[in-house]
Amino acid sequence: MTATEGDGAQPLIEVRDLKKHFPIIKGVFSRPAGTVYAVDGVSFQIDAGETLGLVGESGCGKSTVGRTLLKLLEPTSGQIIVRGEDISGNDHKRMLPYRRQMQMIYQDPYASLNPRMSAGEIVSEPFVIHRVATGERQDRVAALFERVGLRPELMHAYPHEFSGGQRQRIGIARALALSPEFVVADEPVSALDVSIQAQIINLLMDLQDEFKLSYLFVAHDLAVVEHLSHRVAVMYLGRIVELTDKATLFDMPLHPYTEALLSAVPIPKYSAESRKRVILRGDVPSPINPPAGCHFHTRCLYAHARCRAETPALREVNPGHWASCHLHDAGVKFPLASPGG
Amino acid sequence: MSQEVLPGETAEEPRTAAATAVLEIDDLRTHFFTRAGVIRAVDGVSCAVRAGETLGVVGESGCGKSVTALSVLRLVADPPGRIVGGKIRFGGANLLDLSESEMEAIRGNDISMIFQEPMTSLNPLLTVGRQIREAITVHQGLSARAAMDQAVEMLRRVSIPEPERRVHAYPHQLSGGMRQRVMIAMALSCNPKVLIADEPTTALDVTIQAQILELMRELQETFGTAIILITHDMGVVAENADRVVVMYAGRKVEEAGARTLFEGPGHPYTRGLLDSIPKLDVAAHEDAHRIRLNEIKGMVPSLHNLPDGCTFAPRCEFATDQCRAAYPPLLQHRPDHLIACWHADKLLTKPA
Repeated sequence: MTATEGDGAQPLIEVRDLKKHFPIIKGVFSRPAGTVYAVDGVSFQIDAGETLGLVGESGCGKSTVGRTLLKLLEPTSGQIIVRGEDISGNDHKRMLPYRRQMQMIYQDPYASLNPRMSAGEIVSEPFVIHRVATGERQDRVAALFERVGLRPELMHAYPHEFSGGQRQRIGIARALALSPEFVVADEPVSALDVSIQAQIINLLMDLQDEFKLSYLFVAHDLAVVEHLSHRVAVMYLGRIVELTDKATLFDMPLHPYTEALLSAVPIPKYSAESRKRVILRGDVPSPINPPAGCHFHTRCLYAHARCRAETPALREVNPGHWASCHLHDAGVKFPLASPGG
Repeated sequence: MSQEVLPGETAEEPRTAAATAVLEIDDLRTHFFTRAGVIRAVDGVSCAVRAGETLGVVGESGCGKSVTALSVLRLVADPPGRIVGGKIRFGGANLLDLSESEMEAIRGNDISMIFQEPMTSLNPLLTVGRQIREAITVHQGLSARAAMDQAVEMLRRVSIPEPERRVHAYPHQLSGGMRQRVMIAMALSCNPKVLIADEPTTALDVTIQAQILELMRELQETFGTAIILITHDMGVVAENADRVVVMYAGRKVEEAGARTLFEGPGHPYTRGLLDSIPKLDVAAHEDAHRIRLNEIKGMVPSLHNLPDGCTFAPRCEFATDQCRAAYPPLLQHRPDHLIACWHADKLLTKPA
C-alpha cells in the first residue's frame, strides 16, 4: 500500500504515512486558528548506502520531512522505522542511541554553527554529548578535519573566520563525528558559489562510498539532486507526487508536476531555438488551505473534474515507479511532452 | 590571430556594435576605499548592449557584476565606493559627467533596474500601485488618476491576476513571484531603453523563474528593450542571453556571443565553471558510481589581497610562471571572442 516495499531486504529507514501538522495559534487566548499541513502522509524507504533525493519548491514540506524523520520535530502521526524499529514514539532518552546514527547537515553554514565555539569545539561536541572518545578527541577531530578537506590547524579558528564552503565542511565533519549510518542533508550546497558547490557535492559522494552512508538529500535544484541521488521523490504541498530512480524520472516522468519541474530547469547549453517548455500558471497554493482533491490541480495543464474532487493515491504505475495522478487511470500517455528537448 | 586591444581604442567591441549600442560601459573602474585598503570591485570593465539584445553578465559572488550594474545608475554608496575611471555612454552623453538631477531623470525612466530580492526593494508601507505610480508621475508628468490607470495596465501586462484589486495590495500580501512581477512592472512603466536585471530570479522557485524569464522575453520582443541580465546561473544565461560577459575578481575575463561561449569557452575559469555544474540530462544517466564533478580548487580571492599576475592563476590548472608574473591582456582570439588568458589559443584547440 505504500511506496516502500523493496525487494525483501530490510531497508535502513522506512517512513510510513508520516504527517507533520503545525497548529496556527492566534490572539491572547492562543486560539487555534488553523493548521499548516506541512507534511501530509509521506511514505518512502532508504536502503543502506543509498541516496534518496527529495525535491520540491519552497514550502512543499521537504525540509520538514527531513527534520521530522530525525525527530527534531515530533511527528503528528505515522511511523519512522529504523532497521525494523519504529522510533516515532521514542522519547528523548530512547532516541539517544539513534541520534548517533542519524545526523543532519544544514543549508545555511552561517546559521548552523555556534559563533562562540571554535571549529574544533563544534566538531568535538558530539563526542562530549555522547561521552565517547574521551582521551583521543583531539586526534579524532584532526582526522575529521583532514577528511573533509580542512587543515587541522584551523581547529582553533572561529566560524566567522571561514568561508561559506569551509563552514559547510565543518558542518559535514560534525555530522560525521559519530560515524552515523544515515545523514539528512538539507540543501547543503544551495548557499554556495557554483565552483564551491562542486567541491561539496564531490565530498558528499566520496564520504558516502567510504563510510557506506545513506543520505536523504533534500534540495530544490533538480540537477544537483539527480547528480547525487539514486532515486528521487518529488514533493508538492506536503505530499510525494512521484518516486522512482533518477533516470526514469528524467526520461519518463509520470506526474504533470514533475514534467513541469524538469522543463523549467535552465540548461547551461546553447541552443538556437528556445526550448519547448511547460510553463505552469500561478503560484504554489498555501499549505494552510491546500486545494481539495489533487493538490496540484490548480496549476495542472491536464486537470479534469475528478482531480478537483478526489485525492489521487500514490500507486506503483510501473515496477518501482510510483506516481499519484488520476490521468494514469484515464489512460493518458506519458510523458506528455519531452522534458529534455 | 590574436589582436592586441590598444588602450583608449574600442576595438574590444566590433565597431558596428559600438555604433548601435544603446549603452556602452568603457573601462569602468569602481573602487571601495576601506580601512583595510582599496578594494577594486570593478577594475577596467567594458561592454555594450544593443536594443532588443540581452547581455548576460555571469560570475560568482564578489566578482563585481552587481557593482558594475549599480555603477551604471551611479547608485554605488559613496563613501566607501567611488567610480574612479571609465565612461558610461548613453544617449550621446557620459553618465558619469551628468549632474545628480540629470541622473534622476534617467533612472527608472530610460534605464531601470530590477533587483534580486523584491521584498527588500519594495517599500512595505506603500501599496504596489502607489509605488508603480510614483515612477510614472515623476517621469511622465501624468495626473494621479491617469498614473493609477497606467499602473493597473502595467500589472495586467506582467500577468498579475485581478490587477484592479492587486494594485491596492501591500508587498507582504503578494507571493515572491508576484512581487518580482510588480518590480518588473515598475521598471518597465516608463518604457526604458535599458533594463538592468540583477539576479532577477535567484530568489524564486524554478517554475516561477520560468514564468518570469518568459515574461521578460515577451516584453523585450514587444518593446525592444536592451537587457543586462546579471546572474550566477549559467543555465539562465545560456537560455536567455545573446552575448555573455564572464567576470572574475572585478574584471571581464571573457566575452563572446552565447553560442560561441557555450560551445567553445576559452578562459579556464569559464570552462571550469561549466564543468562544475551538474547537468540535468547527464546526471540522470550516470551509473551508480556517479561521475565526479570538476572542481575549481580553492576559492575566489579576496579583493583587497589579489595575487600578482592573473587573478585566477592560483586556482588554474594551466597556470605557468608567465601567468603568475603578469595579468594577461584581453585579446580577440577568434572573431567576436575576447579572452584574457595567456594560454587561450592553446585552450581553444583543446576540446572542453
